[in-house]
Amino acid sequence: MAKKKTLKQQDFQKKKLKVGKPKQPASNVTDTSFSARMISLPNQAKIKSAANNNNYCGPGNPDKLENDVIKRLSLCKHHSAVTRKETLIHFKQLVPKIIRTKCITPMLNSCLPMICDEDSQVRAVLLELFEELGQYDQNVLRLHSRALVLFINSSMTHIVPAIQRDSGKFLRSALRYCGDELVRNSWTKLLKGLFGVLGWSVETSKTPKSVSMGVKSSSVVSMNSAKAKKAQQSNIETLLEFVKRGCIEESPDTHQQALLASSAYSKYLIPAAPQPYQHLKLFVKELKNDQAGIGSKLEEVLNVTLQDFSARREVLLAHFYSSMLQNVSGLITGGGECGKTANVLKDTLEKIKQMQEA
Amino acid sequence: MVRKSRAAILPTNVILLQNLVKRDPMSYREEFLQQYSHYESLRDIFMLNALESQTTGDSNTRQFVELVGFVSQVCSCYPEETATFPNELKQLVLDYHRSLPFEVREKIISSLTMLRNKGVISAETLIQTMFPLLVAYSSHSNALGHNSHAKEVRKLVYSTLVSLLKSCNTGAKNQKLNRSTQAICFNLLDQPDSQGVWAARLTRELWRRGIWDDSRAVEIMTQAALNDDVKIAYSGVLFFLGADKEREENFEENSDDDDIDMDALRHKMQINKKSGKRGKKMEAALKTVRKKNAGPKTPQGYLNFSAIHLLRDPQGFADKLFAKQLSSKNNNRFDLDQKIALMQLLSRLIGTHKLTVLGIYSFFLKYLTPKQRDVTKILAAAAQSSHDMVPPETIAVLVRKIADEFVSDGVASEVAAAGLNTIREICSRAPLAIDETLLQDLTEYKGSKAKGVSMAAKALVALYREVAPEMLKRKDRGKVASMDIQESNRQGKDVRRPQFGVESNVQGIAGIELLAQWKKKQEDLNGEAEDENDDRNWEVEDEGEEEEEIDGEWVTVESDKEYDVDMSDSDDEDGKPKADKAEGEAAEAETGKIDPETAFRDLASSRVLTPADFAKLQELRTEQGVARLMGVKNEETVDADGLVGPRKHRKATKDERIASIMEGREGREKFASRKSKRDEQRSTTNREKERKKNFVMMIHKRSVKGKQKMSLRDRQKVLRQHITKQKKKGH
Repeated sequence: MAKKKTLKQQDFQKKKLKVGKPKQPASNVTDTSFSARMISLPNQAKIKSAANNNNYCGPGNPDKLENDVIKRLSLCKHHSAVTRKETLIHFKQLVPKIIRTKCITPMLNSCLPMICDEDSQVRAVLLELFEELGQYDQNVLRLHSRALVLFINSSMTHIVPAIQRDSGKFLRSALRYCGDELVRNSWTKLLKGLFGVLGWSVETSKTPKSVSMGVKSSSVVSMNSAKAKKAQQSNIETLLEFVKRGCIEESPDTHQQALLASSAYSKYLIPAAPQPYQHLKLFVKELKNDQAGIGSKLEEVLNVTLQDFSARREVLLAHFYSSMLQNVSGLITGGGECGKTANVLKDTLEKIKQMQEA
Repeated sequence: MVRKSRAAILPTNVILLQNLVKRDPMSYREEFLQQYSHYESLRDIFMLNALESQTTGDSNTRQFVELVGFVSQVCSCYPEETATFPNELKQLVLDYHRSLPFEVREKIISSLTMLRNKGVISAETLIQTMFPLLVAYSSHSNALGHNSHAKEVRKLVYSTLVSLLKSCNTGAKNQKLNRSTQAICFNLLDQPDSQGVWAARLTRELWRRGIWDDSRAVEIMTQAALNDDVKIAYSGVLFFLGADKEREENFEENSDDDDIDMDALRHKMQINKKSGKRGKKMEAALKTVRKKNAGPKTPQGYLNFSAIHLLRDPQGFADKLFAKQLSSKNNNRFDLDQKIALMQLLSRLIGTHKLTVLGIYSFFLKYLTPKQRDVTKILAAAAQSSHDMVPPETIAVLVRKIADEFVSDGVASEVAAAGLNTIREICSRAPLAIDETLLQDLTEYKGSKAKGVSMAAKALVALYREVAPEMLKRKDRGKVASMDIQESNRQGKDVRRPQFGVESNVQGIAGIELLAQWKKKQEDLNGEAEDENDDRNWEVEDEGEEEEEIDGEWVTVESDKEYDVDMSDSDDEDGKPKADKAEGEAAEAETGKIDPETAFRDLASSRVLTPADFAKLQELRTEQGVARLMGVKNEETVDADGLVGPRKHRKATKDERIASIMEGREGREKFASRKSKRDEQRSTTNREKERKKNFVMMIHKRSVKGKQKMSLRDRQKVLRQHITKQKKKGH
């Protein structure tokens, strides 16, 4: 009895604190400290998207296709050109099935950089892929027009001449499907790029700061090779098409006339093209250029979107017209296919000038 | 052939183009413009998917890095075309550094540095870019994802900053840049989280290199020392304690790199075959030696002020340091080492500038026990913080406590020695801090058997013989002091005792009584008065002083010998000095002390002091050690290890113990069993066989049976033998 009582009393006795020793924790203490740990496996970040899909895809599902595409994306960076080409061919075959799925965006993201691929066959197949895409759904290319323009521009300024020459083909194919976006959003940029590809100088006024002839040495040296001739021909055609698309309004024929009525309320409807307000650049990151007015006028309009035809014509006439005429006249005297196209281009330019003056 | 020539002018890669552009920027303008627009397009691509994951090793990334390098290399050739380029780089790295791959970040930083070196951007711009990065990548700022390479970036940015400031300050100091950078440092220290650690680190590094040596840099460190963050405060404290030493070491390291032995080289030249190559080598060596001798050892404009001397408001700093860091409620955040560092800094400040921080003396009391860890450091700090401007009763408490705790019969001799030595150090700075009884008690320890204790007590006696002999016991006073006291008693004058608040400055000329004494002695010796009209005494004698430096200890006598020789005949030059000295000592007692006032009156009225006289005066004063007593060397630090005194049986450190063990083992084989060292392949030994043999087979053998048949005596003998054997084995 006495023992029990003492035991009971022990519970209520205060523990004596001892010098140099920490306070004894209570018997019912709960450890509330926790440590959070994170394991990061950066090199596996990419696979994650495919693995996620794995979880809920059944066999024979359209998801399986998507999964397949995503798995093959890394092959776009394969060191062997043949593999890259095969991958692109595979994608091309899949296009009709996957064009409406969400894997098309990652696919395009990894395909677009191949515009600057070193291998000419890969580029050729890529061009075919774009054609295929455009035929099935133009809107896909329209949606990605911004990235497309950037990569085409990058290839136009590429140091390897072959890649540079092929850039015209890509531009032409892109013009076919999303020409409107291209001329609206990146008129000046692309014109400047095309000038670079053709080896023409944008600045006609000879300033004393440059002793060069306004022509790149590479274009001088390889001017007469058969490949260069052929490429020049196609690039001039592209230029012609681009200029036409950008400057000459299609004459409203009777069919369009009928539609005109609807133009009055069309702006209140849901627009047909994706990203109709792209030109506002609401969600685009760009470096601010606070040193405006230092460069020439051309640099100022480089990143400006030109929404209507007359503005584009004005820019064309102001910066490109004279040098274009000068170079074209040289080509016309050269004759051949190239000369013919150049002649057409010259006529077009004159027509544009008249239109603008009118 | 054709291909080759084409390759020379047709740039197919960026590096080649860079080479061509640098040689002839005008002709390759078009190519450059193409590459520049390529850079722009790649930059736009980068911006497009800035937030998406950019993997390293991507071909785009590689190209971009390459082009950024290219453009920054050649952009000085095309200033107009690339006007916006530096700004773009700056924006990229400042706004998007989180999403940029490491290579790009690194490249942009190094490119910006290059642009600064080429003069494209100003140093201020670069600093404004680097500091935010440094802060963003410091370990404390969270939200850095994986793959951020924070450490590398930090290192890169930091070294960039240091080398930038170094290059801007070679030649003349770039005060404008220094100001602006220091302003940034001040701002960093004001930030709430511990970003200020970078300011402290940077300042310390630059101080170490002698780049910053002004009071603003010191002011930054005072801010750091007063910071709330422990790390920053500690680094500030360590700066004041060690930075100057570090700086000196740094310069010493630089100065003694390679010595060329010119004499050896010349000798070689004479003996070896003469050749053009060797001649050139010799010339080169000569040049380097000349350059080394001519050039300044320290960078230009380097000021050798210690950081503590450059403080703008030492009293305010010491007060704040004590109130905010050391004695505040939350001083628990400092561990003991940090607290000791704080005490050391405070005591050095107080000792150097003779400040008044009264709280610190009672603060020390808590730590002054023999059991306290690192107590010698605290004792040294306590000694250092006492000086003659502090009220004696404040320090007396400290002395009393040390005497009570450390100096008694019950403690170890080292402890008593440390206590006595500390008390001596305190009293040499503030002689009034001890009362007569305590002093006389302590001096009793001079008869202690422990050497350290008796030495310490004797040192204390020696100190008070000079400072205040009348406080000592009669027998301790020594001959000179007691005679002094007797004389003053006879004349009925007060004894000259040190008093608090009375400065011991001398009216007239300091130490003139010494000169008078010396003159008198000289007269006695020579038997004639010195010729005071001697012109030579008015010239400051260069030759004499030079010889002084060479000769060392006997300087004083010999240099004055020379004047004598000039005047008198030059026969007895050599034999004289020693005899002179001996006679001088004998005469000293007779001449006794001359009162400074009378001496001044006598000397100043009778003659005009020559420069030679002043030189002599200086020598005599240093000889007498007046300087030390007057507290001139108050910045001298107290050595914490020296306080314990010489130790006879010091406990060896582990390394020393192991070394001695190893020394003993030299040349002998190891004692351990050789079982493990036996060869692998072998048969069992006979002994092993014997042991393993079945007992039943042995039971009838004579060797076993015989044991049972042994006589009792034999059996006892065997047993005894067995026992001793076992004992020897250590069982």
